[in-house]
Amino acid sequence: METGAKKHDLLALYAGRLAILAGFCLVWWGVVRLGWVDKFFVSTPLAVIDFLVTHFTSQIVPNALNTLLATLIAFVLSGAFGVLAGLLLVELPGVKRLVDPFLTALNSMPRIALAPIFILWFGIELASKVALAFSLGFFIVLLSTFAGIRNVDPVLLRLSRSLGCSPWQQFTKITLPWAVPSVFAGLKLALIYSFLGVVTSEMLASKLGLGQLIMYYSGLLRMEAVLAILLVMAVCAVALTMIADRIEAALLGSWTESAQSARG
Amino acid sequence: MSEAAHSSVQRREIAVDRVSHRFPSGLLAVEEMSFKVQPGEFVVIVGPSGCGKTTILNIIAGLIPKQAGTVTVGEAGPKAGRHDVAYMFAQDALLPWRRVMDNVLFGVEVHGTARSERDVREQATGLLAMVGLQGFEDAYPRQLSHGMRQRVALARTFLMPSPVLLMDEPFGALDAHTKLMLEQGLLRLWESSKRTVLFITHDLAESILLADRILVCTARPGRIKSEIPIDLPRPRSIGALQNDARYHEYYRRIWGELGTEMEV
Repeated sequence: METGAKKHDLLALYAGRLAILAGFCLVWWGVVRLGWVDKFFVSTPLAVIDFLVTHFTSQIVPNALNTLLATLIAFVLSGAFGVLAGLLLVELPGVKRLVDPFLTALNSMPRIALAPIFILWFGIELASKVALAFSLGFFIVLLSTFAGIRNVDPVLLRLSRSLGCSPWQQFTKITLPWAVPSVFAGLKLALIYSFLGVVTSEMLASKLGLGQLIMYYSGLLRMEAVLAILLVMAVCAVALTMIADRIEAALLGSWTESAQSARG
Repeated sequence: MSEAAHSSVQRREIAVDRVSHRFPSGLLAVEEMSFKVQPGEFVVIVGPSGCGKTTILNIIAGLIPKQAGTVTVGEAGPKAGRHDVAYMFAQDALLPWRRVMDNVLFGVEVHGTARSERDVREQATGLLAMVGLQGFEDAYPRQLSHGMRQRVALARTFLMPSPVLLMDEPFGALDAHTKLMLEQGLLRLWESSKRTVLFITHDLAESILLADRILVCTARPGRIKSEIPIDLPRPRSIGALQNDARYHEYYRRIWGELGTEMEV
């Protein structure tokens, strides 16, 4: 009974979302058809679909794969080095104090301004866009790791002291698990920012990738192609987020979402 | 009956002699406080808030350094993390990512017992049953009410064979009914393995129900104002005590002692 009702709700939800999409396409098609907006500026839903179908294997897939590969590499590097650096800064407060202004300066720098440098250093293939994406993701993971560890409930630290936890026990049994939700939030954000960084870098100079493709077609004033590629990007971003959410739910399960209430 | 299970519990006394403590702000929290807790004795300190009750407990536990006077627990001076001293706080201090069973096992685990050990798991199951949490072994803390979480903390404290228990208003944040249930639970656990207990509260009814001897504390700076042995038969229950004239007599007497301190 209950699962049946849930299934029904879910179905209604998807139907509703589909209806919003269909309505949007209908209005879009309508305003062009009625001559209210020039096709040159907004293209039409059918032209976009047509472009997607005809260019799917030749352009969309290879470029999307290249963008996603760069995103993934940048994400993994950001995750590994970000967590490591975050832990290091917590363990070595002296170093943290020393490098704090530099970190702030680097992190507040507009990354797009770094892109020309990375392109000069790493060329116009995978490495330069990975570098730009890493420069975004790394700081996000670092800061969230640092914040997560620094935020440990003082009562748990008091418990740790009164039980006589060794520093290693305190770290592995209390601090690290406590920081996990915060680290995960940072990782999820870093994934999306890696994608943004890669696409941005591709738009400036690249041999392959969705960003490069969009620049190419906008140069030709091919609106249907630009919109089609934007759509592909949106699908990629949503898919990445959903995968990350699934992984988080599977790993952290039932205690994270209301860890807040347990802390109260 | 479970005396055998706790045969490893040795006897320890607590001796506090002319201990004073001044906060960094210059405030004198405790002044020349002296008292003793005999091995196996249940002593309750009652006093107005801010009388340094928690401070003296923290000093005995070794969580804050002693400034003046002498403190001995058993043979030795206070030191954080002594295995023969267990400390229970007003907050449950449960680890939100551990299930109830693993939270109960946390103390002994830190002290070097593998969580998977059969004996200790059986003991933990027994303790959970004694505090009325049978069937909640696999629940996460967030799924439990405040009172249930504090019962888990109680089981965690009693699973450690520490002969000395320090309890800092462990039931202070609970509603009246839950509090009574937990007090009965604590009495049952204590009666099955007479440990040396130093218990802090500002609840008079609680102090009479639990104590062998009550120490009444003055307002800041804290000193022991009077000492009242509670000569009521054990096992005690709050229901039976309500019908006992001596209970009300004790209540009036302690209220009288405290009243002059609290200016009510």
